[in-house]
Amino acid sequence: MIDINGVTMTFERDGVPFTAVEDIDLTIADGEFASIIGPSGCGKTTLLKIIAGLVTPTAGTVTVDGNVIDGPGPERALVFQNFVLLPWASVLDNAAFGLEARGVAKEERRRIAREQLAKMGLSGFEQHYPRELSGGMQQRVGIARALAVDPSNLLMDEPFGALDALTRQLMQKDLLDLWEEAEARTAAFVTHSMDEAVYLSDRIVLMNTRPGRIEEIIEVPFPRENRADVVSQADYNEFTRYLWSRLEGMQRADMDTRGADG
Amino acid sequence: MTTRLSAFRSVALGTISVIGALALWEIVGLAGVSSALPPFHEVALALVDLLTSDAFQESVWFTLTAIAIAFPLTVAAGLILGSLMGLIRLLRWMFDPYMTLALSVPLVAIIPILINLFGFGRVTIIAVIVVYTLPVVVVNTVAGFDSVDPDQVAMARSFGASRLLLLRRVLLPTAAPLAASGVRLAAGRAIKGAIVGEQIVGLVGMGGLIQRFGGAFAVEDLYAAIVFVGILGIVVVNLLTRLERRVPA
Repeated sequence: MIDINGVTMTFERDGVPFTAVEDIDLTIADGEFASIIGPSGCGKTTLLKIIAGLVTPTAGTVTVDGNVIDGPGPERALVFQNFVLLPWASVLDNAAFGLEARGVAKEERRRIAREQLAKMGLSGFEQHYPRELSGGMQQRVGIARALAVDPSNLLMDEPFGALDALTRQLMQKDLLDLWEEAEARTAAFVTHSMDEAVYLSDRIVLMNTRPGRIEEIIEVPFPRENRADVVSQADYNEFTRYLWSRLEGMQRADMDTRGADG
Repeated sequence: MTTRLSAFRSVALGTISVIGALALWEIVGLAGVSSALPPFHEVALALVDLLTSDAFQESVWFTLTAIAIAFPLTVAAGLILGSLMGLIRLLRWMFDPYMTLALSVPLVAIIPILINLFGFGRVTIIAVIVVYTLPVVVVNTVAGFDSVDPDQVAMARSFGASRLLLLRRVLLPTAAPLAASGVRLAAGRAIKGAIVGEQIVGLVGMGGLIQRFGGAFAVEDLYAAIVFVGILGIVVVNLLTRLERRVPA
């Protein structure tokens, strides 16, 4: 469970204070899949970094599984937009990195990493290097690395943003299947894609810019089990139309204010 | 396959270019354009004579042993100092000015000081080589650490990696290629430093020999010695390049 309480983050940018996110309150329940979506500059990645413990907020607290965090922790694992694999390490060593960081013995961590890679459909690629893999396969390694440490909370920062549309859809489906297997996991998923958010999530957190804040939290009214079938239904279209109108409104308002500033 | 073909091509073209240059040298030399440029075959004959002479062999031995002592020492010191400067900002601020200075100031100027300190023997030449090569290794190693991807550091941190693991798995592998090319550059400079140092000292090593040939207008011998140094440089740098490729990145 992730409990965000009054989190504000202010940076100095060119000597001017800049509020990335302001007074964020959000609870993601155990086993819930929450997507965070909004125009660029709404602070969604900053918020995820705060949950990951990579950035310390100026105000407010984040409680994960009952403990107030003050840095990264073993109950969380992060998946990065640009994969961030170690180019000089094999696929197997990459997938095992999180376990290595946690001091798991070599044989054991390799066994677990091998298992996770197999789940991601990467058996036979253990001794390859990341550059020999396609983007989609590299991100599969990134996901295997995160799942290998068996985190109760999985944090994903636009993990499919750098992939082509077809690969992206396939990855979404596989992630959802994986999710069904691991019931206890909580997910915070930052994305730019509305369809992706609808397809994957239980709830969608709409964020707005200037300062970054939560605009609305929307329950996805379709059960997660048969999302793939739901995509063709009429009420699905109605829902995505609503979501789109909200996003479009925010994006345009943001463009207007920026125009007025300039 | 393509890479092998282009490697073959580059070797072939290099060979053709060298043969062409030597042929041109021979023609211009035979034409008697200047007494400062003897034809290539005379230089080649002089080189054969030189190789068997005691004085030359002693000089080569002197220079090579000076390099063999100074170079590994400098590489080790340079890699350690460069890594520390790359990792600890305080040390970088402390040592950066000297490295910039050493790379921009003509080092020939400080050789007399080294002679004053260490005399006319091998120690001075070793000191000159160290002064010539250390900054190159250090600056390249520091640049290697500068090229670390902040995302990689964030990734390691997010999994709770210790400082040691971060160093071993992220920082060192990132810095290694640039540090290695620093070492390769330093090898060329080590030879240069040795010869220049010996020329200034004037008594010892191949630099001393070159200086004496020049003073005595022994033009063929002078060219022969220079050609030998050139070949030595090419061999050493190529060997290191090969070694560098072998080291897993």
